[in-house]
Amino acid sequence: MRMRSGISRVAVEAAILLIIIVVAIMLVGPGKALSSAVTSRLGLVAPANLQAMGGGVAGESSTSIYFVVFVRNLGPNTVGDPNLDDSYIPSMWEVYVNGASCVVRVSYIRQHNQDPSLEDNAAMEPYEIWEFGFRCPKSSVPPAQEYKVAIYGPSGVRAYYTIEGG
Amino acid sequence: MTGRRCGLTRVVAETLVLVIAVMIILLIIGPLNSYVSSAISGSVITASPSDIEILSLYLADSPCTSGVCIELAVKNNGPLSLRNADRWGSWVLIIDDYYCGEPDYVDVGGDDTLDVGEVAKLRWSDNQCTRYAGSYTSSIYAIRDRSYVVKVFGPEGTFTAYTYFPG
Repeated sequence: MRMRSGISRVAVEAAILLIIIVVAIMLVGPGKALSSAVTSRLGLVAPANLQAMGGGVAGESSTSIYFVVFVRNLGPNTVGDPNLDDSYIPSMWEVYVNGASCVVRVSYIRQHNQDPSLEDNAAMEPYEIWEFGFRCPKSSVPPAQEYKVAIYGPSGVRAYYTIEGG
Repeated sequence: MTGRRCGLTRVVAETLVLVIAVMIILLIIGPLNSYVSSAISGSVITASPSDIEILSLYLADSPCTSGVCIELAVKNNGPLSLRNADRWGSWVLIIDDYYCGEPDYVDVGGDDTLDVGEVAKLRWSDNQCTRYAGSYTSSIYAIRDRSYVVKVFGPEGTFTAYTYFPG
């Protein structure tokens, strides 16, 4: 008689059990911190949650509408590269209004950091609040009653806010 | 020997392992990500842990730069205590979508926790709220003779809103 080719049922069940245990530990057990760190590092999960706090239409020219939105980093991690200076911020963040791309002009720190050395970098530390100022061309974002703003930052962080038009 | 080896074939075993691996990958980076990402990320705050409520709001009757210009009483309705309630950046006030900043005085009972049922007293010594936007910078003064939509952001991502009417 030929022997049946394959691994034994015991080995298969042991392997499946092991995988289930590892997954369970990664999700709810002591491996949670590890999986969080790994997934954040790989960019699979955003390192922090952003909270859009408010905003509005700041002004209007013949060709553009100017907006501001206040955003707080709820943590747990810093967003962005603390080794870069704040001139890099506009290129690291993307803003869309009603689905159309807009231009990040400036970001003011509204909740100042307790450590002044962290004030001028391109990173948003936990509990720091930024005011994003951005400009949208009227050709793609015409004046409206409602503006749905989506802000995307480094490492997959994002915030959404709806501005009521005037 | 005539005894057959007991177990699954290699093909079946490998198929099972492959299916499990694909499921894990889908859970982590695929369309089911949003359902499990909060569990994976652990300490990421995805929803407010507690409800807070504005009990009262005092506004000065004119532009004000000292003393008590704005005073708020905010209650934690639970279900959880809020840590870091006296920490830098924990409380922020926004009125009519203008940024009024954090309070100059916070009273959460002498500790750093706002327990369930406890009321935080917050005071601002300035009532000018601003939007910085270069040449479009503008501001308002939160004074008592006008209506406002008041938003308070608290510790651990908590949030509440309140409509203020004069009188």
